[in-house]
Amino acid sequence: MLIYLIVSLLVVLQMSFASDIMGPKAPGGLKKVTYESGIVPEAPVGYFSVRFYRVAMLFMIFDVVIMALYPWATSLHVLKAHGFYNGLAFFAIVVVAFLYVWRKGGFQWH
Amino acid sequence: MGYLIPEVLLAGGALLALLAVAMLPNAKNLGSWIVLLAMLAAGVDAASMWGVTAKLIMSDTMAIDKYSILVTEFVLLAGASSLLLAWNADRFGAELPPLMAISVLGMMTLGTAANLMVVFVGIELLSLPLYILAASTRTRAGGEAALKYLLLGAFSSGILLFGMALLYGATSSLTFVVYPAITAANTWLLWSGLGLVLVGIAFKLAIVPFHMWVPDVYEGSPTPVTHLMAFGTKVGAAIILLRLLAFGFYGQDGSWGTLIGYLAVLTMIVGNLLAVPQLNLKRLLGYSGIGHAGFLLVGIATHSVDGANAMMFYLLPYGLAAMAVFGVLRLIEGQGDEVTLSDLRGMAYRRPWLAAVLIVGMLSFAGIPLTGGFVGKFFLLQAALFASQPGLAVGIVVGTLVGLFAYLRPLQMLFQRTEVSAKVQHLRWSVAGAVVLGVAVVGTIGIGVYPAPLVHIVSQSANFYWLTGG
Repeated sequence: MLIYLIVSLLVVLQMSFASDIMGPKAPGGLKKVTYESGIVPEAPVGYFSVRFYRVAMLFMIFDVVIMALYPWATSLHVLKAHGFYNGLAFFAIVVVAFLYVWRKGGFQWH
Repeated sequence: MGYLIPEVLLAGGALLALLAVAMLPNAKNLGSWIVLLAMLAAGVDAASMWGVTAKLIMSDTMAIDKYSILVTEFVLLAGASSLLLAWNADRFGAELPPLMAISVLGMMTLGTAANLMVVFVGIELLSLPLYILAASTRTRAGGEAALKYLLLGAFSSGILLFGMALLYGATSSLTFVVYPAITAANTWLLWSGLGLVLVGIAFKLAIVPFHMWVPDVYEGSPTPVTHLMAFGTKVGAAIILLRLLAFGFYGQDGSWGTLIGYLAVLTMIVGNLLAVPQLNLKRLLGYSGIGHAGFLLVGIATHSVDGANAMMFYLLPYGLAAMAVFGVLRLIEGQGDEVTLSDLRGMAYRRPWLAAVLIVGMLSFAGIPLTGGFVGKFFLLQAALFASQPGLAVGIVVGTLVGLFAYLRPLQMLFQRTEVSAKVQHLRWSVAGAVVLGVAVVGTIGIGVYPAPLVHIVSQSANFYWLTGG
């Protein structure tokens, strides 16, 4: 028991500090900059590109929608017709949103 | 299920309009027509349900009664008038009609809410499109307005949600209409929760300690959107506050009645007082809207059937006067977004009819006899006196007097003979604007001269029988 405790403590300490002691260090440069999803946090001009956020947001929205469709599809035998048509109405709303984003050029990078 | 057809019609109209905007970008006003027709159809369908007996639907989360039907009609009037004020104006963007429809849908949801989750969904459905609409002209002031509204709206939603969580913890139910039956409620938890919920709704209604966002947001938003905020949002927030307190906490008015009463007096006086020095008319109307929210609170604070009736009654004359004033502002501003006091110079001589409409609207705001505003204030005063709360009555009188001063200054500018302002000289009438102004003037004077039909309708809708003690 004691040996087990000591060994696990050593392993934890080794994991925590070994890279700090033995690894090479190159401080400075871009390492000091805040990580902001690949975009320079302080933009040199007054504006910064919203493309990345737009794509990320649209992906999130439609991804979450797809996630909601899976449990709906697998439990249709419990939901019966009522649940089926409610889910269909939800899906129709999402399709309208999808069509809107598509026609407005939301899926193009430029 | 047939009880939610107005909501389904409006939601369908919003989706169809969004599709039309995306698929047929060159069809002018197509989205506006779709949403307007959906609003008319929803209004007709809601009116046809008037004979309904009050009942809870959707697993006791929504209440269908004459109260919810009247609220539906009020907010549809607000939505349709805002839509007409934005008619033919491409600079607001083609997405304005569907967004307005969704916002009105949120207000209708609030009218039927009997459950805190539905309250929250309604408030968010109301607010989210308004954040976008505030910035729809893509101007600097619009962006500022939208950001301020978004941040404070998110903040107040957080407070509201926390309060709801505490209420759920205290009562183990989100359906607030059953709260009076729960006797073993944890008192501290219950009152903290109710307090936080009141703060959250007070933000939306712009009650005085929580009113700071109003003038900037009203000033920066496009005029039709400001009108929707001033009329529709106020209706939505006021009626859910009345429903929550009168249904969920009707036996315990000793704890919240006094608080609401003090807030009402403070809001009436401070709102109207701050309206006096304003030079920008939309800021002036913002502060005036704060003052009117105080008048609405009087009806809730009296905690009686008279008070509930008076508050419901007051909403319509207030909204009609807002339609008149914002309609005139919309015609004056033309391609701009700003109307200052000096823009009104000489209007009584150059545009006498338009000046007359503005005078009717402003006098109704001020509460001068023969306008709807006077009758509304009269009923509020009556309710305050019947409930033997003279403090509220004094507050109404003082607030009205201060407000009179604020509303007479723009009217004074109308009769300045020195020179006619450039905006008045170049203004152009529009058919949609004329429709809004016509409805507003006829309604304001009609209610002022012959209020009996509206009194009858309101007394049926806000007939909260348990308040009479019987």
